[in-house]
Amino acid sequence: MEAKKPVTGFPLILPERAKGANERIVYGHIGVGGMGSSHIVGDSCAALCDVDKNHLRNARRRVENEDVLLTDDYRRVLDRKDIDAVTIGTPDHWHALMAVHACQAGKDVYSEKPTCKTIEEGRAMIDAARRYKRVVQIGAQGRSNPTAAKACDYVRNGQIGNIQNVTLWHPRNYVEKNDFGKEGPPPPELNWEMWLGPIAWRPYNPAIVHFNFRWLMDSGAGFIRDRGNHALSIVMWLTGQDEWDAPVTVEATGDTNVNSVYDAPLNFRAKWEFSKPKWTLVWEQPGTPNPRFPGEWGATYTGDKGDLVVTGGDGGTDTEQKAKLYTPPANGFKAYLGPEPLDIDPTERHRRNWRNCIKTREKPVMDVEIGVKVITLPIIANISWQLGRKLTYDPKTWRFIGDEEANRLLSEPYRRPWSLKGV
Amino acid sequence: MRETLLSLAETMAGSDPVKAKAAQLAMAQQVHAAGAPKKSGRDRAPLLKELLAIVNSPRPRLVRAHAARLIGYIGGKGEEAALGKAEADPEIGEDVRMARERIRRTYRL
Repeated sequence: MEAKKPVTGFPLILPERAKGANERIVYGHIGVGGMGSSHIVGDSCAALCDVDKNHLRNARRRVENEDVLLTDDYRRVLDRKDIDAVTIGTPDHWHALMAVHACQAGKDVYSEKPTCKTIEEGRAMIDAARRYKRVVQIGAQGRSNPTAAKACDYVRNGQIGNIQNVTLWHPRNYVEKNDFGKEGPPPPELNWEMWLGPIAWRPYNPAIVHFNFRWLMDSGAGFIRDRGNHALSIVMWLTGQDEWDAPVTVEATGDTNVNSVYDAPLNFRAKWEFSKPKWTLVWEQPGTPNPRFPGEWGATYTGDKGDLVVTGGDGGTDTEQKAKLYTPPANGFKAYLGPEPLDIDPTERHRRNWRNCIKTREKPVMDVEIGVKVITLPIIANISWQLGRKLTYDPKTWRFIGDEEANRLLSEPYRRPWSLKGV
Repeated sequence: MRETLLSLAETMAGSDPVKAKAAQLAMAQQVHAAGAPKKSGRDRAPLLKELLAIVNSPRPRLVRAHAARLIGYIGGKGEEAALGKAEADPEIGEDVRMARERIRRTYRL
């Protein structure tokens, strides 16, 4: 792989209705438990949406506007003409649908990782963002982390040579506990039908709500698509592969804990072999932390001249001292981080980057198109694991080569009335 | 000799959650193995016949819904048509519609 590439700027998204530098952006926040609650802009919020009334009540305390709309139906947020932008922090199976509908409604979008659940959804997100000229940032905040940028500079300027292999390590999915939960009626504070939304009906079970939605293939699909979105975002950034467009083979293995309600695998290993340029990417769950620079999760980048360890992949990304101390040559590659101050929390930098882009109409650092490229990797790995066979995916056609059943898994039919076609 | 999907569906409908889940996974594994590129319609036919029988049986909702989903992965035009009546089923009608939609996307029906 060619390590050194020229700096590329971020083209402008044509403004539909640009905001002035001092003009206030009015937000609606959809999904306000967990990470979604961190995105609330208390002094400029017109609507809060969550299917759990407890989440709404807690979020309401952080909003100054006494007339803030409280709802469990995101369509009511999108109906509001006074709202410019929305954040989406729901379980994964809602991300793409809400993002597409928000674009259709003329809202700019900050959507949590993972970008989407299927390839069809990813294509719809890109189409909607471009057609409706919306700024869509994916919440993979490692791209706003100055330390990750230092690692990017180090690798992209050839300090480890041409990339041959990247091996990621991560703890197992949290499905070791033997737990089937107890199916039954949902608690009164929870709108279970709206929690399910587009996915196949299943009875309420407290074992999967809220955080543990991650361990169901329908709603989360395990760490590979969750933190994997962070970790693989960093990999594709450092290796300069955001625009990879040649066929890749993928083979994944894993085993499910039959003593629990969860169907995401306990252990998981995926291997992608890229064809142009040739290099290999491996996700090991559990994997072995690199003893030279250990962390709960991370990656070892191996080139033909050396290697580099990068831990994490989100706001807490870290790397070895040699990369932190590295200064790129004047004409070398310099990772683009956006104009936001460097000394603030990377997650907040990421949000500010989005807010700035709403005003300038530039593409954000984790534009939806990059987000879809990144999330394609765990999506196709999960399909390989589900089918139990090696697959070859062609990003130019958005399809697997020579495997009809695998292609049927590139989209998931939605439960009515949900559709990517319209709100 | 494979365990039939009908037998696995019985286990999935049973009271032992561990066995039920193992049976559910085993059903999917059989279907995915038959969906591999080197397999033919002849390999898939007996599985599809059993899956249709499960969909149209009085078994529990989630068992029948699982069978419908599996038909969506490997079914053809014939199964798409055969599922038509079950789309009116008050319990699994929506699961059946989703399975039919998956097949239709393949054949652009």
